[in-house]
Amino acid sequence: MTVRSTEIPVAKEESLHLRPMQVLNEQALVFESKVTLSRGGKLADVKSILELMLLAAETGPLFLEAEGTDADEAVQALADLLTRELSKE
Amino acid sequence: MRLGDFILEEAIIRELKSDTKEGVLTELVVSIVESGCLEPDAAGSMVEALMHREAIGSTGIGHGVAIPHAKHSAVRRLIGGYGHSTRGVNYDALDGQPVRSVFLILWPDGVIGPHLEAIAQVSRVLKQEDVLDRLKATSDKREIVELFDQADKAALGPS
Repeated sequence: MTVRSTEIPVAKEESLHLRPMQVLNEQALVFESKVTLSRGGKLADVKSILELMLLAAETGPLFLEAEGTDADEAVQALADLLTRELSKE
Repeated sequence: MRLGDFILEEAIIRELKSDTKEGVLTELVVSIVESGCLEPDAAGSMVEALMHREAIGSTGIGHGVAIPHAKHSAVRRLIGGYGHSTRGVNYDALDGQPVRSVFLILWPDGVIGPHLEAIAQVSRVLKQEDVLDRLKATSDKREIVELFDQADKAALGPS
């Protein structure tokens, strides 16, 4: 089982708005891997929008991790996607 | 933050009349006006602001839930409303399913991010076992208020 993780380049105080989380959630469902996003000591299953919303008010470094057969692809694609979406806010 | 800190009891609609997104947003904004927390002449531009946000991407997050939100200069503090629809609203949700629970969140222009804590609390509440199912199943205002209160306490602990 492959595990891959990366830090998402985002300002420590920048909040996660609903829109980037929705886009991330939708795209994560394409991958077989379990994908998690963590921030401020909280961990969310990216495939659950309700869990992702828990991170809305958190700040600090943002980490994405995938575990599964397509973990490499998942982390690369989702990190790029989230970085793009955050830059739009 | 608790749901009870921003969802106005006067702005809880036990059964939404409209089955369209704009209609539902209008009903909820009108209920905020009727609660006295928004001037009537700001209602139109508030609905416009909410629809503008929806045009960027639907706030229908799936699971039969929508969280429309917008900032507005006529709003003095973080406030919100809740609407229930038994038949479901055509909300253009991400999963294509009709929306039965609508959480409206409004906050003052120029204030950064109070709605994010509100969204996080909606999440804490809806993640609790049975809360979402019970919420979608009830059109009893008293039951909705009690459910919010119980779920707030379970999420954050008693005050």
